[in-house]
Amino acid sequence: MSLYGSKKFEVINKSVPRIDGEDKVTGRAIYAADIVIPRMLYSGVLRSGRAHARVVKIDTSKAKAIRGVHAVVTADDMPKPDAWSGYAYLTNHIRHAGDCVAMVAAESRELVDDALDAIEVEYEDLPVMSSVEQAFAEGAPKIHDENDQADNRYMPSCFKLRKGNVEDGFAEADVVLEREYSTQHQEHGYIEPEAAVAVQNPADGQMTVYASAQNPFFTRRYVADIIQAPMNEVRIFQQNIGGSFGGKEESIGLVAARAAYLCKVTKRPVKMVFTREELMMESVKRHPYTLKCKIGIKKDGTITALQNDIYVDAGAYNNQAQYVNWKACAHSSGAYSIPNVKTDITGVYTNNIMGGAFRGFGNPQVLFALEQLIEEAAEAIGMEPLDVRRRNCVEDGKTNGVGQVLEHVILKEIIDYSAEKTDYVKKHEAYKHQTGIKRKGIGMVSMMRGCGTGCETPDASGAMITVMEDGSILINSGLAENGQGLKTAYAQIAAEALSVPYESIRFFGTDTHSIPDSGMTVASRGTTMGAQSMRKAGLELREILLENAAEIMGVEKDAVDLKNGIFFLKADPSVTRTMKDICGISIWSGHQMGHYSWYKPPKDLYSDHATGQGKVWPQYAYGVIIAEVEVDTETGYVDVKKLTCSHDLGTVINPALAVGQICGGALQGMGYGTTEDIKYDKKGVMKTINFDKYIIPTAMDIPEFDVNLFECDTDQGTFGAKSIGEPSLDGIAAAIANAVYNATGKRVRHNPCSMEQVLLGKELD
Amino acid sequence: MLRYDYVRPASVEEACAFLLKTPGRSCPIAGCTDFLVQVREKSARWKDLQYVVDLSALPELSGIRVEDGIVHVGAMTTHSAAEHSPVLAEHAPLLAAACASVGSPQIRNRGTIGGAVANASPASDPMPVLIALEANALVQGPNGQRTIPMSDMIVKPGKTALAPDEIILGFSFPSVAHMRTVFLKLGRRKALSISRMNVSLVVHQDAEGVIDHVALAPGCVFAAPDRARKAEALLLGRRPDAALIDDAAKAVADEMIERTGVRWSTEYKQPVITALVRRALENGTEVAE
Repeated sequence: MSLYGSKKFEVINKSVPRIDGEDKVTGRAIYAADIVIPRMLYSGVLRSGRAHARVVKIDTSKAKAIRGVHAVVTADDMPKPDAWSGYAYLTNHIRHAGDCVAMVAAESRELVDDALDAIEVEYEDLPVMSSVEQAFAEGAPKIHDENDQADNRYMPSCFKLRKGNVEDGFAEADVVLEREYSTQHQEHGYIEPEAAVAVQNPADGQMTVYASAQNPFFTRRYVADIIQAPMNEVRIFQQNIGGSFGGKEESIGLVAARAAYLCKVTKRPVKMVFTREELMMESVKRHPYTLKCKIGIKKDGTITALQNDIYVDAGAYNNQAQYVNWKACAHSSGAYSIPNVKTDITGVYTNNIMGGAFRGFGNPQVLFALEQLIEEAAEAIGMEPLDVRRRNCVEDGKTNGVGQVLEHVILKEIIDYSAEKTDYVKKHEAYKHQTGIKRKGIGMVSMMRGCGTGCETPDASGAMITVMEDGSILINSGLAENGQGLKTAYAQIAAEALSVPYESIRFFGTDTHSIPDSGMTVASRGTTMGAQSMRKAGLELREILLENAAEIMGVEKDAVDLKNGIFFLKADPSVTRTMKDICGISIWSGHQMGHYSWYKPPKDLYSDHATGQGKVWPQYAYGVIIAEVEVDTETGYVDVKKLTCSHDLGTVINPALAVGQICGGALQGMGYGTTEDIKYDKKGVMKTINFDKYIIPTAMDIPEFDVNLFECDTDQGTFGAKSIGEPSLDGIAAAIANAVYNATGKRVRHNPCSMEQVLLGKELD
Repeated sequence: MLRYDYVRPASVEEACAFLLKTPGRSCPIAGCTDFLVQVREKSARWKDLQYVVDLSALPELSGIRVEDGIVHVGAMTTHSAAEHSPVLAEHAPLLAAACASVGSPQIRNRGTIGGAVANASPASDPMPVLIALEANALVQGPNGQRTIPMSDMIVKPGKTALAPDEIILGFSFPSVAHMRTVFLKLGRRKALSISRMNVSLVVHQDAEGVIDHVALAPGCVFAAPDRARKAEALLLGRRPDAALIDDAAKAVADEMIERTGVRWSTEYKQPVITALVRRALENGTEVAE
């Protein structure tokens, strides 16, 4: 049995309190929007409210004339209105309804609002392409003039996966099924809207931005770009984050940059805070996918071939579809070892909100299709889907979709454990024969996910540890707390590596002037790969401290050991020195008390661009979701009663935080699978711009959770850790859709299982 | 940004006098849970707004009591107060249930029944209940008091029968302690949910099981909350059985289409309101075997 509990560590693998927990639950924690600086101005942007248009004329004179208004800026006023990432700070070519044509800084929020109202804009409307079908057509109006494709395709987002030969595979099959599935935009729904406060030092020109940035180094690119300053003059202080989930990358970059620009222009500190409506309209969403799938299966349950043609609504701008689609493509045959797989994925610009990074990053869409397709295929040959999953699932020595030979695979064990614990087989059969109005359903998903960025970018990072003369310790990392518990996990990992108590360590968050860029805190990499440098720095500093102690204690280095923050002689453990003893002397005797270390991953990863085949991730996290629902067959309401979430975490760093991540991700996945859906009006303008219409689960909607933590023998991640941030969400919507089918006998092939979809098989607006 | 002054009158008379003096430029406010959202959204409804008139200090507008079989609910009664009222639990449990289903605890602590009525939302939860209770609103204007039957209160979405210088003092209705009542709400989630549809039912059967009183008010079904008279006519004087309940439920859906036409949402609403009304009648009546 690989359930959590058999590994032996001193500090990790245990539930210690969160470093920032008390501040957050007591409301003491300061967020970027709380910051007030003397002489600070407020700011805001003017949005077009049109899905596709050009600015013909813009008159800012009335706004500028308002007393207390310090700056009114249009795209024409700026040296560089287009952002480095392909987005626009301000634009005269409106590509989606959230695009901004002007920005304002003034003495108060009220004056900002007045000034924005006083700007007069004349637009020329352009044809709106609010779907992939409309935009992906030869000769369709171009959303980006510089795009060399005649059909709005975004070529860097197009990928292929080629394993075996699907034609041979389909010929071998007894049954071949073709199905189409599709998914919707999902908003991250974080509590805290984007906020930034920019202040420039009038003497040396340093631009400092306090921001709710998921990735402060990424935000720095935007700020340096807009004010055209070298990066070493831009300092981002990451503030507490009220949720991000991939969302506070592009949008906070735009907010921080606009604030910095207005700060530079007005020579005053400037605050910019999004309203909920603004973030709904300008912060990226989960990409909608249309997946045309074909599967071949033999009567004995062997899957012989899988083909996916995937079309992706990339939205108006693009800085992520190329990464999301690559990952979706690599995961497109899920947790199955299928000999023949062919996937093509194509991203297309539209006049909708941009797709971007969102916990799951392509996998929830792929699983929504694949995990239903597997069940449809199983039904076609009269087999229980569980048996088809077991028969085809990845195992030690087998290959996944990218052709990588796998090891330490405990998926089958997780499937069997979860099925048995939920009585899945019995329920799944019994629920097919219900006749009442309210019907129960149970649905399963099995899945795997590459840990970290894999071949996408090298999973490298840096970390610094400093020991003070009183024995207290400060850690610093290029990766950032996003609310997931990174500070706590990193402190535990540093404490484990150093052999010191967890309580002696503090981690105050990320300042871009204090440490090198270590890549983004994304891809569920923070603990499994990002903390590799923290562990390395800890182990290396431990050796340095032992040397210091040995010298101070007058013995050879290998005569001293360190445990739980106490130095002692191996020969006579009663002879001890505390950290404070050693460090208090070290500070005055020239001993090294801090250490910076860089971790670079092994170079054996590769992915062939033409086929997508290779050794793509160092390891994979496996998991099983079982959703239990009750469907009201007269209203279509899906009541999610219970989610059983079983995950392979390799090594659990902090069980309480892991369970928190899993429940939070599952709930976000539940919203994706039941109620969350961005809707547009007939002109392509978003309608669901606040939480009255964009429906996320409330505390009252939380189902019963059964979380099962598994561990395995991998040595790839930090202390053997794998990813959990994204696996927690990936399979939930698919499991719910399978459960709804079990209850009703009707497949919901368009996510989510809204009341209308479940009752009528379609959306009504 | 809308800028307006805040006025807090010391009496109902003073409030009405102020409203009379500032026609179309002032808005009486209670919990502001709808009002401030509309102001923030720059609703055209408030484009001429200059004053908000805070009614929260007026004692005449508060309290829930029962006198001679008549229940009086002050306009400034918050949804929370209604939710937890022992008087309503006994004399109009469906009103307590409807108020308990409104928004979130924060909204229920601020928002009032009078405010909800004055806002005239077509998706109101308490409004159809008050109609099913055959409640009257007691209102006061510069020329004194009058009553408005709740069935006449909503003229169209966002517009009440109140004159601009009138304020709602409260609502009164006969106790339904001796009747069966049901409030059903369908939302997209279990809390903080705007009604997709709701059903309010007050019904009484005599010793033989014959329905001798019925008031059935579906919400989000007609242009404004109203009773489903055709279904009521089918039910009155009859002993309910499964067939009658089905017929009455279908009659509500038919009346919806008759009154509002076939709309984009009809394909969903027609079968679902039928099911909800059927459930309300099944819960609210003793069905003959």
